[in-house]
Amino acid sequence: MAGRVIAGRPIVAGEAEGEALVTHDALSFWGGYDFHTGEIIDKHHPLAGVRAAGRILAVPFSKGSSTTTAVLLEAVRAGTAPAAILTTGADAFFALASIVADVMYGKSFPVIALEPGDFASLVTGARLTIRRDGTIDERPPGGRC
Amino acid sequence: MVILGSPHFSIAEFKRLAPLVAGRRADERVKFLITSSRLMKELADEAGVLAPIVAFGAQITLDTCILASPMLPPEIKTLMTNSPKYAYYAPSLLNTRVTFGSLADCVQSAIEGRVVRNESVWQAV
Repeated sequence: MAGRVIAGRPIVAGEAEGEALVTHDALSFWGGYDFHTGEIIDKHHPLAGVRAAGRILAVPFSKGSSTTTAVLLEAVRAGTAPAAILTTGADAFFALASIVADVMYGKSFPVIALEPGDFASLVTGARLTIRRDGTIDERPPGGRC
Repeated sequence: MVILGSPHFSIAEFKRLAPLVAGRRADERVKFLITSSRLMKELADEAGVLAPIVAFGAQITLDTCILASPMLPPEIKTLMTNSPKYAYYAPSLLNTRVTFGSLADCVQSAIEGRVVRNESVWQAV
């Protein structure tokens, strides 16, 4: 299977490269993400126990506490945040964490909103390259790098 | 352990709780903890509903909650609560099991020292 290009809308523009980790269930980082380890710890979530650090996390939107922003910000500081976050809409909590991380730590990560159909077609394990304009190069899992 | 008020038990909840516990006493094996705010506790005291709750054996912790501060004794493995927020987050953050019940269920369980739930509220109509 050949790669493809997905047109995303940059909420926070940036570049990133990594392996896709895809979920269709919303996630609260507060109470759901351990910034010490980069692991998803919400026991009700399908990705419970999975490490998202350094991967490109595709999660439709955040849920629950606005402290999601603070936990994600701590993860950026600790080097345990996802390399980028892909969503289905403009998620203010994720975007705020990236913007504030840039101000506080000089480190930000791309937050890209995708059309629902594009989001639905994402698969875990695909290699993604995110460009500043929001376009995403996708190579399918198992393909040659 | 019964835990009420995530994050803060309100004056309306204090007023609902008081008649449920009046003249009764929690089983000595059960910890009955309420997290609330300073203001709500003062209002409850002024309204005369705090005394029966304290006499019941409730402990009240102010201006924080069990998810934000490490206050759970290590031997506590199971919580009973009427708070969906505590029920949702406790297994992940505190590694406890959770039983969810109504305020009246929480009180009755504390009195009997075992989980008592009125299952009729969960039945489809």
